[in-house]
Amino acid sequence: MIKYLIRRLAVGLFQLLFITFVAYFLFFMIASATGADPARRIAGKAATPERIAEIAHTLGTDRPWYEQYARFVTNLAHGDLGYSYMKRRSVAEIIFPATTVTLSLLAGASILWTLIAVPVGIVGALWPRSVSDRISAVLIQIAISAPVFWVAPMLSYLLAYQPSQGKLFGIDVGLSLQMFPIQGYVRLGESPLQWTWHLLLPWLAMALGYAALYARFVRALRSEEHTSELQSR
Amino acid sequence: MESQDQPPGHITDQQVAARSEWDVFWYRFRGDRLAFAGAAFLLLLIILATVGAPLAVIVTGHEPDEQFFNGLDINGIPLGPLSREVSDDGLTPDPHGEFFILGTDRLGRDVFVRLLFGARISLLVAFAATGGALLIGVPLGLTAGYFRGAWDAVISRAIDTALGFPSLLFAIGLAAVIGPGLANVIIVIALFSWYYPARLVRTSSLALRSEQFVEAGISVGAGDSRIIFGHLLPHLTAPIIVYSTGIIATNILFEAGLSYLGLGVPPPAPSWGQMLSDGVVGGLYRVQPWLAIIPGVALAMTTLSFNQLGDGMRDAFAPRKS
Repeated sequence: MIKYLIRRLAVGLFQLLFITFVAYFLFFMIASATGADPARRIAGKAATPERIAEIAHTLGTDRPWYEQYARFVTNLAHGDLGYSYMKRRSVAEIIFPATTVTLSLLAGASILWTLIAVPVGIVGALWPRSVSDRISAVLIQIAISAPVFWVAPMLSYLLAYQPSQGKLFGIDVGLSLQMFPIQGYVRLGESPLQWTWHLLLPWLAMALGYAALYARFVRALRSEEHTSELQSR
Repeated sequence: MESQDQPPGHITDQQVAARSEWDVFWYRFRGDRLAFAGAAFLLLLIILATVGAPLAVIVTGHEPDEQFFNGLDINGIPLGPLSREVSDDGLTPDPHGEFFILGTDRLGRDVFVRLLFGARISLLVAFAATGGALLIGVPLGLTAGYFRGAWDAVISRAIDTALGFPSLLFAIGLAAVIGPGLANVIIVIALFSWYYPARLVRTSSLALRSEQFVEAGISVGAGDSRIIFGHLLPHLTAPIIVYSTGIIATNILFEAGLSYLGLGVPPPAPSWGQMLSDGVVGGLYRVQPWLAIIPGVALAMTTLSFNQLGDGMRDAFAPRKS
């Protein structure tokens, strides 16, 4: 078991390395095809060729691509993710603040889709071909087929924008209320309630498709168990 | 019927087996109303995309790229479905103006005509990319399962790598190198969907490899390519067809996603994903929600139909218990 884990881990590490290699190579191909040069960009329009060469030397972009890749991997092994020429900040400085937002989205969405999928799947498995099973089967198919970049604006339109305009699903209700905010993010540490309120629609948009996939999976799993239980009786 | 023309006892085993399998398939498939509805919708969509699109141009007199100045109201907001061009005050409908079945878009173009031409691109990209994916994936999967050993290890690692590779990064890179375009989109999607059929075919041919008919083939001296393509592949036709239907559905959404991000077929060529992003990204859907509803429903209906058809065919080929 441990031997297997070590082997899988080694293979995974090798794959990670291979993917970074392909991605790195691809970007050098793009750069050479389009003539993009970070040194030229940093130096500005009026820079002399000597100045550009000097900047390229400081950045290390005058080295051949495989040497740059080797340096990138060495730095990566030391925990240094590199430096963004565009934003002129270290990549870690850009990625880590964004990670908390991404994780907030992912954590909430995965809890939400589990909460939707498990009951729907179990009900479908316990009473197959019942009315609720048929309705959920249709909804599951629709949720799988609808693209997330369509579901999200539809949710924000119907549950965030319309109520704030005094309408509910296009019908005038006379008073405007903010059911959900259209944009914005509040950190969890600042206010857990506001955090949830701001993230609920994004969670829902992301969760629906996965909830449908998982519900189908749970239904198949449960109905298998159910049949074998009945048979063993 | 053919058997009447031939003397009795002259039917080979292969003929009987092949016919009965498809007969059984058709018998089961006929009873599946949802799959039938999906197939009917797709047939209608193909007719609309091929014949309907030019016909719509003749009937409405609107080209897909034609902009109508009075197709936007005085605030520059596109018209909703079933509306006429506004008159010169920019608000009231002009009784003699052009009629728009599904309204107009951000630039005052006819959404109905664009939707039909968009169907062409969606279907073309999805079918071509899936075909490309099968051409890459099926031979790789077949040979990996048949030869096993080192070759299988190489293919399996390649599948894992492709699965882990960020497809959007690659799409952006390729668009930057060879420029955006229809062929580019098809290549990107094919390169990121070949591993689905490859994985399926590898597993199945690995299982079939130890069957007696393969052993028999080897023992009478049949070559590798003959066993792979003459004997293994026919066994896998049914699962490959079923699986491809699902991949087409995924690829329609893939194309829409790329177009949504501006990495798809370049404008002014209409594509469903691009129509959706046109309506959503600037926030125009808040005042004219039809801009988001119409292409979204078209996308969802099409993927839904492909999924239903795929599920129906799978059940007809190999019915599940329950």
